[in-house]
Amino acid sequence: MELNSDEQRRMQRYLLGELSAPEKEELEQQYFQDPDCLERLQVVEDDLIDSYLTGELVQDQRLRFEEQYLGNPARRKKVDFARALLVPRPARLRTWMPYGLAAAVLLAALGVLLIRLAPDRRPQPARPARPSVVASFSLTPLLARDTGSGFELSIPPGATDVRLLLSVDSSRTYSSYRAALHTVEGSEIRRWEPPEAQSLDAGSSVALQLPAALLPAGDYILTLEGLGPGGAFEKLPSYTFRVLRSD
Amino acid sequence: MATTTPGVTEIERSYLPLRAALVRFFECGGCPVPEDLADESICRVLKNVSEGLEVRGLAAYARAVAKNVLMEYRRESGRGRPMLGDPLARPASGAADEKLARRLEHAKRSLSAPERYLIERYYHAGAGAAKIHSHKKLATRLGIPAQTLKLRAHRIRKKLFGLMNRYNETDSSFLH
Repeated sequence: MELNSDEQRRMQRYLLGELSAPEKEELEQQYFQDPDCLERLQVVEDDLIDSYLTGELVQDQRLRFEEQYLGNPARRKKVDFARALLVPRPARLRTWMPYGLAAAVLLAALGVLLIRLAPDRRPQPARPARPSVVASFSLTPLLARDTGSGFELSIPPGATDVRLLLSVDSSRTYSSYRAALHTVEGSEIRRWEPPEAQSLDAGSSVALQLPAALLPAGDYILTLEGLGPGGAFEKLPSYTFRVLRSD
Repeated sequence: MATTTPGVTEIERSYLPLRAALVRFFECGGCPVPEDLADESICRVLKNVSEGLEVRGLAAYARAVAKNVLMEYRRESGRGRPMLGDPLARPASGAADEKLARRLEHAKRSLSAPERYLIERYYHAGAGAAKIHSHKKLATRLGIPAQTLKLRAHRIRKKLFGLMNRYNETDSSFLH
């Protein structure tokens, strides 16, 4: 199979509905005549779907993708399938998942309790504000296979904020980070620009915080970029998680 | 003069690649039921050819028929633009995801050990630069070019997708 980058781009544009009528006609003619061409088109489609799911598409492409794929049941099925394929659940993981989930809930609840019990030494405002209750969760990047935690976040009732601690590859040095959170359908929830995205623990994790109200139950993709030595942001592995709500 | 008119036998022989191209055509036309329309197109081609219509180039003729089928479908749906499903359709719920994951695990058991090895390493490779690096490493380990690896992964993925669809059709309650 020889798939050059021009053909790949052309096929990707076809799948996203961006080709002009004559270009579209030409490509359709080719893949009707040539099964190899059709197979290459299917390979490009696999890549496109996977890139969407791992947050690798640029904004315009992501929007086009959602328009073309997520509203179409036949194509949606492919996206759902790809999601299952990209995020495996090994047997041992499933065995441990209830314990991992229980531990995550317990830790979050403990965090909430500690914050509530901690003496507040700040001067009290004239009108008492609602105390901030932060539920913290650690996330490992998408497709990191070694741990069973990090896929499901159970936000306790009463939490006002959610703090996400993203574990990152500390062997690479980045002076700062920026991040974006989207639903799996692609709606943007929140963006963090430097210095909002704080690097912690000598660069081995990045902390992000957002109001808990922004995270209803559902599936999310968090993309992270690090500012490299060359002064450009580099894409880092994404994080996916599901929010569970009991309130 | 020699004729290149395909007969019913040729259509039967070309059935699978032709149907795949038709499904792709209807999908890219925004149709929510691409497989039904692909089958409808093939039926029309078959009917016309068996009634004696002279066709020069089966693929081109099937594409012309498909264009008509798509136009009719759009007209009947009362829209002049590609038809999509409910754009606000919710993503699969947690329970549906779990079911899908179970079915996938089950489908993977039908693969040979090398196929399973390849697909798990290929698709569990992270994103961005990590993915590229991991794919290169896997291709080297298997002693094949990167493009061949990509193609093999695609074929196994397609096989799994087909198996999953079959489970959906039979509503395999054994996996619930």
